[in-house]
Amino acid sequence: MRPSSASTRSEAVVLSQRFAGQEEGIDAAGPEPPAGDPPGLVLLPFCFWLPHAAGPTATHDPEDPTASATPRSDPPLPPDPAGLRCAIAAHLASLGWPGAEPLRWAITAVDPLRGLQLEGLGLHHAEQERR
Amino acid sequence: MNDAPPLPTLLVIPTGIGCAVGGYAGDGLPAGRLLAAASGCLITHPNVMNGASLYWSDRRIHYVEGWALDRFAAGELALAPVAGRRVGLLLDAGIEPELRTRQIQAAEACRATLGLSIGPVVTTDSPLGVGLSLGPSGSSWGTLERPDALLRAGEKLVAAGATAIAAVARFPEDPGSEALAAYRAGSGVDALAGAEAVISHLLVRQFGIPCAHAPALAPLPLDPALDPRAAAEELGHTFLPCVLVGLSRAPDLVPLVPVGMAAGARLEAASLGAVIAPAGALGGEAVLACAARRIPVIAVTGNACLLQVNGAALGLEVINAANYAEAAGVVLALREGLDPASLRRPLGPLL
Repeated sequence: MRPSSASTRSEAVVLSQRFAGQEEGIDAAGPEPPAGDPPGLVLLPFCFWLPHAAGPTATHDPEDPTASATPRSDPPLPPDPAGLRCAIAAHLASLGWPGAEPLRWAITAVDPLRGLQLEGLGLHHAEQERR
Repeated sequence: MNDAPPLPTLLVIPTGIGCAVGGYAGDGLPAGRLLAAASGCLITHPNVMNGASLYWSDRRIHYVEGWALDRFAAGELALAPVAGRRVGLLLDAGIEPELRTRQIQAAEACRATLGLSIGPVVTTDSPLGVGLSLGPSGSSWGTLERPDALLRAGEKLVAAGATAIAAVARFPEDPGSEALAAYRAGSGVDALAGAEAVISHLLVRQFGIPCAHAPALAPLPLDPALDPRAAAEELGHTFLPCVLVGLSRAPDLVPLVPVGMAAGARLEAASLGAVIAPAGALGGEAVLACAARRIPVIAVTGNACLLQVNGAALGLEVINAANYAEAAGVVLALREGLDPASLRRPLGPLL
């Protein structure tokens, strides 16, 4: 499918700053529903680094999803997708969206120091009261 | 004719990350057809199969939307083939009248020419407000201002008897943008893809039936230098026919039955024999779930994309294939019970 108006790289830099919890970033609480919108569903763009120590293969600790930034020296172990989903949910909860779940996500970069970059969109329901 | 049993194979070409193969308008379809022939049973997603007015229907190919594909790979859903289904048409209230009529006429054409069962047609109670963006990695993402309106319209369709949903949303456009020019010239990322995936993911997650999306866009001026991979989108006024065809025989999405119950003709993740993905895009949920089940991962090194999330970076053991023709050879080898390593040199010792 073809690109459109909001898709040039320079615009992307601006738009990417809407991603909740990105390293440099910004908008730590994620997007607000549009004015007048009944508080039904909220879509939450996110991007964050999940350090290796907490990450892909370790048993997930929802209380501490970003436990350490220790560089990894040993070969990586394959990521556990269920653990990554939990880490994303914990990240969204830490931004004030408890109960939000990942709707669409992927590992979009791997860095020996920072870990796994998880990028995607979360989904929050109104009945899951925002902190 | 291959008399070996089919080897259920999952083909993933993620959308919106600039894949050289499958990153445009249905240009992953030849790879899908070849892999269906090699495996005898291919499970793949709309981004691979959808070529706007162009499509290919093959009983060996199972058309499964991305959210359901992830749940299938995770072992939470099974796929049950069906003879056919009734596809409801969901139209965004933000589509202008003329463009809306074009969508409805495309659906009428699929009824009259292909014999598809389509209907009812429901329009959302407010414009969906599709927004486009690129993520920090450069991947395309998108969002909706009114996901609630999308789901209300979907609910009406399901209540009226639709067993699949084809959604058409008005997408923002700028015919003069550099990104569009680059895409039509065969480079750059499909910026619409991320928002399209969000729409279909929301619908499938909510209703548990097959859903897919086509954007509503105004026709573009003629471009004599158009890249062949983008050409399918220049053929008509809508991108809807491929979606209607794909959904018309998409399998049922069945919550996985408890162990011990007969699986019947259902396809389950446990029966997968291989998963194929671009070598730099192995960080999606479906591929990771398959790898966790020790299903062989075939990484296509020749399908370059924006990302560098490869087997070495993730600690995944993969079988590299230079292109989809080689990947089809690997699938054939697996289907015949051959170790793909035995076909390569040097052949390392066991100890």
